[in-house]
Amino acid sequence: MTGSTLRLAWRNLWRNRRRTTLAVTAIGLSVVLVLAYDSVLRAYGDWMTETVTGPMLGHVQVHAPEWRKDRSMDRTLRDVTATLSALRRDPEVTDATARVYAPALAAVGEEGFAVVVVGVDPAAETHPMGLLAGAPALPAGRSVLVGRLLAEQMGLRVGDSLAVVGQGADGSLANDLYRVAGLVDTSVDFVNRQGVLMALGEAQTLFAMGDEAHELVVRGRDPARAGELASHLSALPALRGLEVLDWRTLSPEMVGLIELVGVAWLFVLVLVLVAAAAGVANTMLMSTHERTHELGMLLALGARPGRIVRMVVVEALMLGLVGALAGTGVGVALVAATHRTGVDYAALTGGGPQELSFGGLRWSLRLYPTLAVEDVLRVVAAVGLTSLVAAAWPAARVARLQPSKALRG
Amino acid sequence: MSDVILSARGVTKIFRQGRIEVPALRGVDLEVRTGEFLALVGPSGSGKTTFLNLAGALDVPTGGELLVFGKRIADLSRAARAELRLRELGFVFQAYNLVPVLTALENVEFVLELQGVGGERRERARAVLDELGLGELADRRPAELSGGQQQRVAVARAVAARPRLVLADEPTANLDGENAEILMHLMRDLRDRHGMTFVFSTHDPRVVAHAVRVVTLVDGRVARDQEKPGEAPHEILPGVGKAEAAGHLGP
Repeated sequence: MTGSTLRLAWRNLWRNRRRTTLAVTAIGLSVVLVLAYDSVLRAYGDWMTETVTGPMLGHVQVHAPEWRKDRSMDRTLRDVTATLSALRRDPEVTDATARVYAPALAAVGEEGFAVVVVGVDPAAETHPMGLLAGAPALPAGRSVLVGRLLAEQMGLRVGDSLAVVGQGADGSLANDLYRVAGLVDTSVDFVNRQGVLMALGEAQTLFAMGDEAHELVVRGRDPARAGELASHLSALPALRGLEVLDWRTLSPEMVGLIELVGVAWLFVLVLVLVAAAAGVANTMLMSTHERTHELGMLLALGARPGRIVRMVVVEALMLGLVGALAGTGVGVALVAATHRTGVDYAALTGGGPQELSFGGLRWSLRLYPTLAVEDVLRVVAAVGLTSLVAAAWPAARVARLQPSKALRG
Repeated sequence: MSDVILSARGVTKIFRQGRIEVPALRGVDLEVRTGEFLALVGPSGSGKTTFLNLAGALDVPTGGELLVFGKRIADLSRAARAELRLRELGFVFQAYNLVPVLTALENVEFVLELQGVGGERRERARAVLDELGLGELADRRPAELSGGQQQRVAVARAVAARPRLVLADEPTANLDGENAEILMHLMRDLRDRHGMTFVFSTHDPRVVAHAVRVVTLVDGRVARDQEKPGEAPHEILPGVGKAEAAGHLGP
């Protein structure tokens, strides 16, 4: 393509400034919409992945065989301290921690409530991806944190005493009295509704578990490569005979949801492409129709039809790309402006709940729109390709022009 | 005797408007030789523009035989006709027909680019404009030029590619008397100095006065063919050929 073709196409594009500006605006607004929608979907998708692989599942989990089926107290992992040491030494592992899950009855006063005691290592769970991220400190000794919804249901306040009664791993009676050190709000729904969190050592003592746990939560460098990490870890001698599963296998319904969000942008993209195609095709058809005489003159001068077609196609491509770039500028600025503060969808929809509960997770209605470079490139490329397709109609008309007829008008 | 560059024998052209056939040319016999300065005259609808379109390979005849530079127009493909127009023919249209988004220089350059002229394109285009006294207007767009200036730029564009035959359809129709005179002098000067052949249609008696040969078309046929005595092309342009023309219109 010669520089003169580009120059001529660019100048032709702006011959009718109002029409071109309208088309560019329509395409640009469509791109803004798709980028805004993309940014919300990406925020949802990233947040879901972070939530699922963060406080809830980690990247890989290790359990005793069959534990996931019945969550029986006695299906435990043994020699947890040594196993965790082996895991933490592995170069592929960035973090590993153990948890205890024990169904129990908790009582304040005379009324009892069904709860799940979760024994956690506070030092390993307070990082941003941990179960105790943002939670009050969990002191050593007989202190517990209680899920906020459970506390509201029980009428518990910080400082109250809570009696916990359950069954030990060895079948013995487990019971003790704990002080409520704080209330927790996590993105894991059952912890908020049923969770009584205590230090791992305290839980192991209460439920007669010694150096045992029900679950090891392991994190690697990249959640997308959790499958490889699980395969790698299952070959370690310390984990031989145990169930080692990545988060995708553990929560296929969440994976399905994340993937659904990942492809939802396609629907909006199709709408945008239709708008872009209509804008480009309409503008180029009108433009070439108005210039029929001039195009006939160019043919008369000896321009090959291919040259004229190329000029029209380049014009269409420029129109689409100018619209896409203008829309990208506005869209990226909009996303950048809302990324820091987030968008409160509850307020936008006239109030209502700030969170939704689904799939064992709490979904915040305040989202932090975010875009990846690939999102922008994808939209710009799609508009560019659509413009080329939309140029086919006017280009085909131009290709069929007979110079003598075109010169007549 | 000069070479015959255009030969029409019994050329007909019929346009179809639905089921109706409209004959525009009913059998034109005409020969044009190198270096001629020929005016096609006749009333509206006599077939002047149709004949110029056929001679310019913009259209193909319905019947008869039309040879341009020895090539049978009816036998040429669309691409071959485009190539013939590009290499051998120049056009000047009634309504200036410059590309409005290009400057005068760029309009001239465009034809050279179509011809595949490379690095010296701009210099050659500027040289043509300078030769026609349009150097100062090189960077102006058509909207910034008067009608007469635009038509002179159109002539510059038509001759920049060194065509052997320039076809002009009513080139002075939109010009006042003074500008029509300037344009005719310009075209005739180009013909005298470069040996280019000019065939132009016109209604204007002042323009006809500049012609060396006047062919009158009536109802799609040649009704009269007059050559001014003593001004036959081979006598006016002894020894002037394309090689010499190339030397005048740039490197």
